[in-house]
Amino acid sequence: MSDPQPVETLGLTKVYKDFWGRSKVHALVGLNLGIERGEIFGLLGPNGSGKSTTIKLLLGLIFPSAGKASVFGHAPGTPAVNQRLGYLPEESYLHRFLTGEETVDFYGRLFGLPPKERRRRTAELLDLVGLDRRARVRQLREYSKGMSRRIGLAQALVNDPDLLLLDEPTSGLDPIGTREMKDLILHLKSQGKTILLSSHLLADVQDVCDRIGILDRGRLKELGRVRDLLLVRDVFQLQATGVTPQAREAILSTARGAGATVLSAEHPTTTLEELFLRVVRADSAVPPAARRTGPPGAPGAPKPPAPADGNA
Amino acid sequence: MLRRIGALALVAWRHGMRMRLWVLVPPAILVLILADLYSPRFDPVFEGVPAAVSTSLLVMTVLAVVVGIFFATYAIPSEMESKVIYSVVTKPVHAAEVVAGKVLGMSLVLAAMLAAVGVGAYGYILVRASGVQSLAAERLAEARPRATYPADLNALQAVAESGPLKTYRYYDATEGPLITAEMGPEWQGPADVRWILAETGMRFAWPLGDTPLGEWASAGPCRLRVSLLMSPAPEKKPAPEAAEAKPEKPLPPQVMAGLLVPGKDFNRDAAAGREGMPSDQDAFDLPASGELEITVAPPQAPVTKGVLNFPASGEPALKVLALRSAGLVGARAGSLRIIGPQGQQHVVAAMPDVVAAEQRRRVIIAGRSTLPREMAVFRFADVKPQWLPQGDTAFEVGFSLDAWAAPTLQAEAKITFVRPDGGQKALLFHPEAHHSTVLQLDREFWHGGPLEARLESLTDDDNFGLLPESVQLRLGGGPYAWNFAKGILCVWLYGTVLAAIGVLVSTRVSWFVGILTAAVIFMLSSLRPFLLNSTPAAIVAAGMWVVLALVIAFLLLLRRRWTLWPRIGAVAGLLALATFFGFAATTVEKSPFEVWRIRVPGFVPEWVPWKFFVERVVVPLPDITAFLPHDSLSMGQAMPLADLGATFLLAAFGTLVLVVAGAILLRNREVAA
Repeated sequence: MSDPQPVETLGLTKVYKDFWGRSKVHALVGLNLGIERGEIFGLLGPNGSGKSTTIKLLLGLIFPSAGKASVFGHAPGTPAVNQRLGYLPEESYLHRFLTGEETVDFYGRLFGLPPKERRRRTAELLDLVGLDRRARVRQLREYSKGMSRRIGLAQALVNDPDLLLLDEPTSGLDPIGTREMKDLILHLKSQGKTILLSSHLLADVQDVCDRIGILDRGRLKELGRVRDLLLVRDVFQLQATGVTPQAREAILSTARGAGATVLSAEHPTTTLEELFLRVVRADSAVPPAARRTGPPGAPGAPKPPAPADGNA
Repeated sequence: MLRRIGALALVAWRHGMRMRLWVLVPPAILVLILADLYSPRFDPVFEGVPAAVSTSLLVMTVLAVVVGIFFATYAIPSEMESKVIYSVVTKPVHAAEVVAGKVLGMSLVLAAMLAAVGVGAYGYILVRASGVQSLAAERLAEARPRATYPADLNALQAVAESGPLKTYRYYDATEGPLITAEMGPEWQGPADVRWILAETGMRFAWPLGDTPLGEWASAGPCRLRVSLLMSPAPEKKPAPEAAEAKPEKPLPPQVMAGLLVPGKDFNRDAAAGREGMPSDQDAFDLPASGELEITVAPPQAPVTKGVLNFPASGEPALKVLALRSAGLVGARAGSLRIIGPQGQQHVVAAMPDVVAAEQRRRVIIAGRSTLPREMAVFRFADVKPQWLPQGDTAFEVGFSLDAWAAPTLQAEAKITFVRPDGGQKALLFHPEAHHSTVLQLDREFWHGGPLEARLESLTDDDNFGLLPESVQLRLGGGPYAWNFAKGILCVWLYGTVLAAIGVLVSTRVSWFVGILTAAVIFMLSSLRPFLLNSTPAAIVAAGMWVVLALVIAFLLLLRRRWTLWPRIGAVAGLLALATFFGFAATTVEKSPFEVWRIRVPGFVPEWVPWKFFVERVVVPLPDITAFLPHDSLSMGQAMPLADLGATFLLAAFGTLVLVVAGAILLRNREVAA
């Protein structure tokens, strides 16, 4: 029997009520959604659009007011579902009195990993997210926000999940960390993982997602493949190198001669993110651990996210 | 499953340790030492060590309450507030594992703290015990030449020989205390007379089912004429100090009489006018002639002093109880005569039954220097010879008597041991008010099997209040330290159950509401004896202070900037203040022969639905104090391992039930709502 769809919702609705049971907020209204195995799905929307509510419903942290949601064919929140699931909350909601090592070890225990496997996994994940030996034995209360995001990511990956729910994964990360997080997401996809991420940072979503859904005031306004949604069908863009001024004029005149309207013809600009990464990496500002590539023990893995304040 | 519970417990343990809960340990040890040092001066030989043990266990109990309620109630709400719970419940864990892990973690924290305090406390007890042996020896050397009853010195000698750190196995009587009397030739009297003694709870009973009283009483007022025989008032030997004092006017002899249906007994409080007058019973002065006349009114007649209403339903019996000043009262066949409204008469020909009080656990025997003397009989059914310590030549017999004598009175008492073959051995001793007495019984006289002990007071105006466990055989127990550790284990079980209650309530509510709920459950359960024996007005008055404190605590807790410790301090301080003022505003009293109760000046209205509250709220509450070590532990009573095991199983079962309930609540809660 084939594995059920990782995520499926049908008319999923959530209404928050006040103490007296009166409807207060319609956070999500009739969401119909299906996420395929191995894809990266992005939930986009402004603050309060229902992104986090959707993720909480899929985790079983809250219960739907109407409709239903299923994860791998089961009701959300059951131990069987959670066994295959990794969750990175918007902020790192972790025990602040535990050290980094203890945190990953604790979550490894919850997944029933045997001690030897747990020790190995803890070391690998802490290496992957770039927490050095000194940081691993400090309590989380002493961590910077970037370090907290890293340890949060490590705990989300401790069970090598089939489905990852990432709530604002790049929140609090600096551009290097953001890029590395995106690389990691793409790497996880290459391993066949299914990823649902929510963000209001459009560029991040555009860079990594296969499909997106746009939520606004609890309703799904748009759903489709990123490429299809962004495609401007009546405009043609040509990018080339080694074009001389004469050749440029020839191309433009040919286009006009064929009846086309030239909207712009200029040198493209790079993104600020690309510029920043080039400058910073040229100065070797990235710590060695954070530049390490590859999944635990494998070559070619993505780089880990870097903290926002470079405090690691 | 166990691995996940262990992981969650480990985190709870680390939470406790890294919150530095252990900082409570040194102050707790200091508090117990100071409390013991500044408590009223106890007799250093007999009561120094028990007092230190009591104080130690009390301080540990308070610690268990603080950790059990405050910390455990904080555990889940703090994770809800910080949203850490998101990361936990999205892992493959059941709600029951989360709750069980928390409770287990709290329990481990508590165990470590109690162990640390226990070690310190035991060190202090050892210090307290040092020197007691030599002190006892000195006192013995001084007292022996002047002793009236050498048996009194046995306990002192035992301490001088083996020190105060001894444990005992106590064997309670299997039957008793039963009231009987040493009548003497004068009172054996004719065979057709039956006697009852004042204040013993024994009463005459004349069943009235076969008499025309019911029929006559429905037609109009009837009279019951009871001819009683009375003993002369015993001669009183005035105390030396009281010889020149103004003589008190003697109280007239009184009896209580009632037309009581089966299952109903005398209500002494009601007779004293404290709770309103009942219709079926009253107190009557007994004339010197012994002729008692009681008017019986129809059931629906208004309640009148000195008149008994015939019960509306059921077949009553006339019961007559002699009150304190009545001494010895006799009756015979034909003593009861019923006189109808038209003067018609019916004589009850049967001999009156002499019956004991219903549901009365504590008995009182009055002291008399002359016959007849009341005796309390305790029977030990069958003490196995192998239970007796080998090699010893004597066994100890412990007494816990409520002796109610004037402080200046040097009371005398006698205990007579009777073997099945009729062999007797009497020991005279001086009982001390509210103190234990320990005598020794020779092994030559008795070495196992059935035994009867007859206890009597030989001093006028001295009474003994006795419970079934008031006379016990005291045999050697195990090591003292191990016994103390068992007591600490019980405190730990108590704290664990409290922690489970705290975790349970906090799965659904905020920390503050959780603490309130857990504290109320704790207080209601702990104060069960008070609540069940006190008046509604008293409870309301005491409760008002608690409510006031909780309201102030609530207002203080609104200061969100406060971290955990100021909050805990504020709530704990206010609860302590509330308790203090609650008890100060009311009166906590314990009559020598009754249980503790709260009394209050009558400024609180009586509209409280007290009966409903007691029957529906207080009585169904499980008595969580049952897990606490018994008071007698401090007196060296060895706790049998079976008892500890039973307590453990009970606590484990209770905790399991609470965990399951907590899991159901947590599973159905939207943790991210």
